[in-house]
Amino acid sequence: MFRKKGKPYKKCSNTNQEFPIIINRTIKMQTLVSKTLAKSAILASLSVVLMSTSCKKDPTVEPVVDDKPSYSIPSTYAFNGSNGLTSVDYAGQTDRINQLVELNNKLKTGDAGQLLSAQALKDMFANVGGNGNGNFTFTSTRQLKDKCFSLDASVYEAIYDSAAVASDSGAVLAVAANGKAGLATRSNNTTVLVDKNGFEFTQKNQKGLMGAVFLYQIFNVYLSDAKIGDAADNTNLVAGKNYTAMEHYADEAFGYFGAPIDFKSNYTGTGTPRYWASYSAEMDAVLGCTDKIMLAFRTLRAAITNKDMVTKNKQRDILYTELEKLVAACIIHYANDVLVETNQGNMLHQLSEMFGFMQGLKYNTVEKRKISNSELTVLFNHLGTNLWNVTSNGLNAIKDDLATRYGLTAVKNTL
Amino acid sequence: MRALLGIFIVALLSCTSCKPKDKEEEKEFDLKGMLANVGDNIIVPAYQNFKSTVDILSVAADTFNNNPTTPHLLSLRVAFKNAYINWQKCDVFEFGPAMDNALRANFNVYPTDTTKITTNVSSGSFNIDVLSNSDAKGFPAIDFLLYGDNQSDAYILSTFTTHTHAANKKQYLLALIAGIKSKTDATVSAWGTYITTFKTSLGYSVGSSAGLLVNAMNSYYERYLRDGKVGIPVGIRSLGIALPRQTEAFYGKFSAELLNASLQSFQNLYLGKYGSTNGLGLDDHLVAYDGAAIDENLRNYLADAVVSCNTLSDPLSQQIINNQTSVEAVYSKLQKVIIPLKVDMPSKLGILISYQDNDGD
Repeated sequence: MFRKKGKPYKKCSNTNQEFPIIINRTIKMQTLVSKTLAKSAILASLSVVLMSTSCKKDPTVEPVVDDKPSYSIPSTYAFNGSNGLTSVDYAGQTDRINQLVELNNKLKTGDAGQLLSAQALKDMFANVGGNGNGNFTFTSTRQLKDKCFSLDASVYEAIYDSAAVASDSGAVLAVAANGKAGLATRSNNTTVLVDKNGFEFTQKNQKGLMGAVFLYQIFNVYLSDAKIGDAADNTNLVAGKNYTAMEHYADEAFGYFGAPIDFKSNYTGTGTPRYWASYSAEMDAVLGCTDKIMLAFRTLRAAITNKDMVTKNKQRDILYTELEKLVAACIIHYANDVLVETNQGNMLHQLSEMFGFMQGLKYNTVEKRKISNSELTVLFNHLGTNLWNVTSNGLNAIKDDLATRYGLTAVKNTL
Repeated sequence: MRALLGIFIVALLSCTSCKPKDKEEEKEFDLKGMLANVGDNIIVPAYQNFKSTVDILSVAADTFNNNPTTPHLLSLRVAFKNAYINWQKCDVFEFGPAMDNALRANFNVYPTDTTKITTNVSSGSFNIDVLSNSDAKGFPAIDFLLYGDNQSDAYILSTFTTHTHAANKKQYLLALIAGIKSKTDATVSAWGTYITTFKTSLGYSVGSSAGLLVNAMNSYYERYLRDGKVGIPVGIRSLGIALPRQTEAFYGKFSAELLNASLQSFQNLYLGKYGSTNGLGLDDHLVAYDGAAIDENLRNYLADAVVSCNTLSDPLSQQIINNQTSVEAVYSKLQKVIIPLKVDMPSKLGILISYQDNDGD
């Protein structure tokens, strides 16, 4: 079990830079010992030895009985530096989440038949002039485009171009049909602007960038060895900041998840889960993903702060696995929605979401991902390039593949 | 202290499952018995009856195709109507095999797109399985093919015999009926094994049979029964402007008959009733779970709605035009069922309503 909530080891007066490594060694050693020797008495005496070597001034420290962290994991994503002030900072990620909200809202005006400007959308994507060339309600030095998987940035600019062209049809209330861009009416009588193949621009953009920016950055940048591998700097505070570089990178990964710091299953807090966190909440009843992901993020950060590289790496693997599984669950969820849907506008909407989430599967690292590019191509072929031609057989083929691949067979019909 | 922390973490991790467990400990109800009753005595027979009417429809279509005469047209219409009525008793079960086969989207999207049907017929080239044809197939499309828009029997017959695209039209009719038959057969066959899953997925969590059933009932009742059959045609979603052409079976003019079949079987499903036997149903479940008041509301409101719907006459589209207020009154009776059905019952049984009503993003 976790160590009693109290002073972490590093608060001990004899703490020095080398100390955390000693902790890691003792954890490993204990695991080994606990496997080979009879338990309690030996462990108790061992813990006495440990305490005497590492934390003399804290006699209440509990023994560590397995390789679980020997420090407390906070119940929310809140961490303080040694000066008692918060050491968490992911303002850049929050900015980009806010930018996607406003960019997508701009795109959404096309759903109501307004004309769209491709340039305005591109300016927002690249955050021209720090305020999207006057299109954002706030200023920021950050942008979505330069954090987008580089080969895909042009894909999104092309979406803005074709959305602007299609908005000419939307503006004259042209009805979307197979081969014809225009407005598709949903069951709630609202309309959505779709291209000639039935793809809804806002969904393609929003779900797409959730993958191309947020997931891509989490998987390939912030959880990478370059940023939080064992050799990354976790010793020196970043100049003028309250955190080490490694701590900050973990925070930035968490920032892209879009969760309030107290996010959990059946969340009733005052924060708003956004993007991936909101989908985690949506899938949670069936997938049980939210607590797993949040615990992994919190433990990852606590491990880094406590220089516990073994636990850190373990949590990183959990995040790689669970976040990719969440993407797969979202795809299956939308396939199910379409299978029981009867309104074509709703179907196109749901399929566009599904398509966007399917893009998300390509952003995990080559080493970690459970689906290769060619395997993913097979799934895209089942969907086809024209949503008007989607069949239930195609949807079921996608569902079955993902369910098997991600261990979701038991829940594939209830997601 | 440490133990407390441990308990807290365990509770945190397992909190999705603890609510129904508490209920099971406190209260006694034979959920297994209810699922067996609903599965064995209601769902499976409903699909089997439907399948036999589809088989008859298929044979009648072949007969008509080989020998398109007025008597064969009339008997084909009878077979069509009978299958359509029996579909009403299955439509609510859109989970498991029905979801795999996307039955609702394949069988009953209306209003049907008559322009698309005409295009498909004249081109003779179409794939009825694709999304774009979901409003050009199933019962509503057959309804249009067999009855036409206020045209004489002689004229309809001629569209299958002497018109330019008569052969194509026969081919289209056969393709639509074959589509219904193959998906029906697949669903009935899948229920052969799924029935075991259905009867043994106990509990109330998302994905349990009780969860699936209650969600399917709500989704169906709200969107397809209340809105689709009555609300939308009478103008509830269009600022009171009636849309009579959006009634079900608009061309065959037996909308009210379908509504009554649907609501009657919905009521029986709630009660666990089949034939004259009243088996274990959700009503008994509510009573056992200290929800007798909810059950009383639901039973009364459903009974009121049944009585009210029986006052409707076909063609319903005509009644909407002649006396919109009378149909709005029926809608109100249907509406009254929603709160106990969608809020009170799920909350009493610990079931999460998890389907999306698509009013969001």
